[in-house]
This record gives sequence, structure tokens and C-alpha cells, in this order.
Amino acid sequence: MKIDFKHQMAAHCENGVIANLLRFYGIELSEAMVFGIGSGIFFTYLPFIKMGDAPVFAFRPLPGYIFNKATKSLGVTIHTEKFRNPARAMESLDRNLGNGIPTGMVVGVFFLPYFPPQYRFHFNAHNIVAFGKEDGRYLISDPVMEGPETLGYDELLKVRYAKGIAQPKGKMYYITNVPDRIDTREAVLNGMKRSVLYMVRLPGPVIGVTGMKYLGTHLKRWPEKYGDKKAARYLGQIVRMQEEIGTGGAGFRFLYAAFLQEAAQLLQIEALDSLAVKMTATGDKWRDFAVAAGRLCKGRELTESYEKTGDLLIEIAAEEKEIFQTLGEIVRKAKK
Amino acid sequence: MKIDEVPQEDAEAFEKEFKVLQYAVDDNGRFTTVKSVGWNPKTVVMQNAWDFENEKAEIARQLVLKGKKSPLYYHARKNMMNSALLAGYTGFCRISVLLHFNPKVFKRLGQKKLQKYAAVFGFESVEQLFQIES
Repeated sequence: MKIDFKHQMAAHCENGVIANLLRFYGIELSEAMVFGIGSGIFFTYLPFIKMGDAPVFAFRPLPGYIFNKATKSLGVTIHTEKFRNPARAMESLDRNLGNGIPTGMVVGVFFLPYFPPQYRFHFNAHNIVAFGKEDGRYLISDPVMEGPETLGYDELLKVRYAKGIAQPKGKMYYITNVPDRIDTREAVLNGMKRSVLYMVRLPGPVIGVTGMKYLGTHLKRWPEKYGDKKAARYLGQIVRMQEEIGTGGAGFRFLYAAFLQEAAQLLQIEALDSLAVKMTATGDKWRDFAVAAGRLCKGRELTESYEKTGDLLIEIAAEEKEIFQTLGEIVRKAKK
Repeated sequence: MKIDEVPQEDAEAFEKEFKVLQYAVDDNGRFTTVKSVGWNPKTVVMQNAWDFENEKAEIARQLVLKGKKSPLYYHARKNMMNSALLAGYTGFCRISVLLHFNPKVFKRLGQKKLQKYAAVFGFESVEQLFQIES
């Protein structure tokens, strides 16, 4: 059996899966739009939690957050299930496919056979959609791949029951109900409002633009605190979070700018267009940051220093603070 | 980032070429998507991360060659697993996995347990568990 499901490549797996699933049910939303409505833009630096021998840097909220917020804002009902028994998880998937429901799943990437080896770490929050079964192999739409892929029963079972941090435990989800009319305008404004909250309004030093500034000042002390090798690895970790598959470049900044551009058209607010231009500019600065970090990682060019790189980050933080404050005002005016 | 600025570098840095989607601005200032094969700073940091993992595997290999750890220890490290993760995949408790890292204990393991380990690493036979690259 094969469901008539259109696979479209996306930058990020979570947005991509939502956009693909919604399209199947007749809601045309771009990846950027889903990202914005789900309030996907985020930043946090948690120096006191070490994951994989490096502090936590994140350019996105917790896995599943964008998904929940986007579907809730749009009024789409989702059924989510986890299974203790792997065999039952697979049975349930088969039943769904038999009923013609494309089904999303959370999987680990380490044992995902079609995934490029250079990206295979023990990361357990990747999203894929199964849309059929032919000759005992599942047809898989993975948004970060160019085309559809297939997985055998055992292969799929192994990735659905990946172990380690944040185990998926066979988690699967599918759309059960789509409202007749969708208020995209309201959803977009609410998405922006939440993002403003996370980027500039939350107190404390670790989340949003204050987190960036915090990281900028911390980063300058890394070489003396941790030694050159460790400092370079930590810096590399930031760039990996920023540029590895899934971000669309510059730690989601370009993706968010694309969202602002689309929102400007939808809401007929010109100020959003100029914000998109500013956001693109900070995105370009994040790219400069990655270039500087890459050179420091190689450790042979002395023109770059941790001092300068940290300053760049503080500069970006100040610019983004301005952007999100303006966005907050725009949302407030539009909501009146 | 403009469309012509989307980096297309280091396509052959890793064994499998892989394109990611990037968002870039066209001549009219509108965003569109462009596929990118790679970017040098990204290659550097990814290589750096892999070097770190490979280093850990190499240390493990030396320990195995010296007879201080069982070959299982090396295979675990090579798959970037610690005892807890390996315990999760096999269903053994963590303390048993730690015991199996001991060469003397590992030598006496039964076929059933060995097969479980082999399955986790994707080996066809249990003999592969005892082999390490010298």
C-alpha cells in the first residue's frame, strides 16, 4: 500500500514533517511559516549542564515544542502515542498505514541506515513520516533528504527504540482532525508574541539575547579556563548547533527572516519586511562568527581571537534585542 | 546571504556527499531555498568533533591491545556508546556491561549474550566482537 503523500525537502526535520503532514490534509503552509507559528527561534546557553562533553548550546526549543505550538495554534488535532511494547508499536503503525493515514515518528539517527555517516551521532529527536509499505519495506519521507527513502521492519524498529537521552519509545503521531477554517493571522501573531517572550522578555541570564551576551562574555575566558583544545571544541560545538543540518543557515536566522517576509505579506504590515532585512543582516553576522570559530578551531590563524569573537556575539545580541523589541511593538499594535 | 553566496565547498570532505537546504535572498530581496553541498567552517568543526570521538576510540584500542579492557570496550567507544547506552540497547544492567568490559569476564561470556552485543553493533557473527583493528 502506498499513500499519495508528497515528499518535500526542508531545512529542519520538525518543521518539514509538520508542513508535509498539513499539506496532505489540504493546508498549504511553507516551512518558514510553520517555524514562525511554532515559535521555533530560540537561544540558550547552559554552561552548567554538559551534554556529550560540552556545555549545552541550543538555537531551538526542546524537540516537539515547535510541533505542539504550531498544531495547537492552527487548531489541528493530533494524536500522539508511545508504546512500551515494540511489536505493538509496529502493529499500530501498520494499521495506520492500512487506513491511509501518513504517520509521523520520532526516531534516533545513529542507526538510521540512509542517513549520511558524518551526521550520525546519538541524537534521538529526529522526525520522519511513514507513508506506505511495499514488499515489507516502509516508505519513509525524511524532510532533510532529497527524496523518499525506505526502511525495513527491523531497521525501523531499532531507530524507533533508540536508547540514551530523550528516548523516543516508539513515539508516533498523526493528524486526526483539521478545522474547516484556519485563522492564520491570529496564529502568526501568537507565534511572534511567544518568540518575543523567549528572546527578550524572559528574566535570567541564559535564555534569549541575554544568553547570547552571556556566552559572548564567557567565551573570552575559555582559553585560560579550559585550555586551547577544549575551548576550540566548545566553540566548534556552537557552530555545529548553528550550521548542522536543520537550521537553514545561521542558526535559524534566515528561516525566521523568511517567515517575517511571508508574514509581512499576510498581515499587510510593511515594517515586518524591514525587520526581515535586519534579521538577514544578523544572520550574516552569525555566519561571520562561524567563520571566525572555524579558524580558531583549526588553531593556526592568529588574526582571530576569542576576545574578538566574543565581542561579535555581544554585538549580535544587541542587534537581535532591538529586532525582537520592535517585533513586540508591531504585534501589540496589530492585535489591537 | 544571497543566492550566489550560498557556500558550495568541501563536497568530498566526508565519505558520503550530502546536501542541506539553505535559505537565501534572491535579487529582489525575497527568500528562497538553495541546496548546499557544504561549507568550510562547518567541515572544520564537524571534523573536529569526529577527531574527538576517534581519539576516544583510539585510547580504547590501546587499552584493549594492552589487555586491560575487553574488545567490547573498543567497539562500544567506536560506536560512541558508554556503558549506560550499551546497557539500554542490550537490556543488560549497567553493572554487567561494565563487568563485560573486563577481558577475563568477557572471555567467558556465553553465545546468547555475545549475540546480543553483535546485534547492537550490526555484526553478522559473534567472532567480529573479538576482532579489533591492530
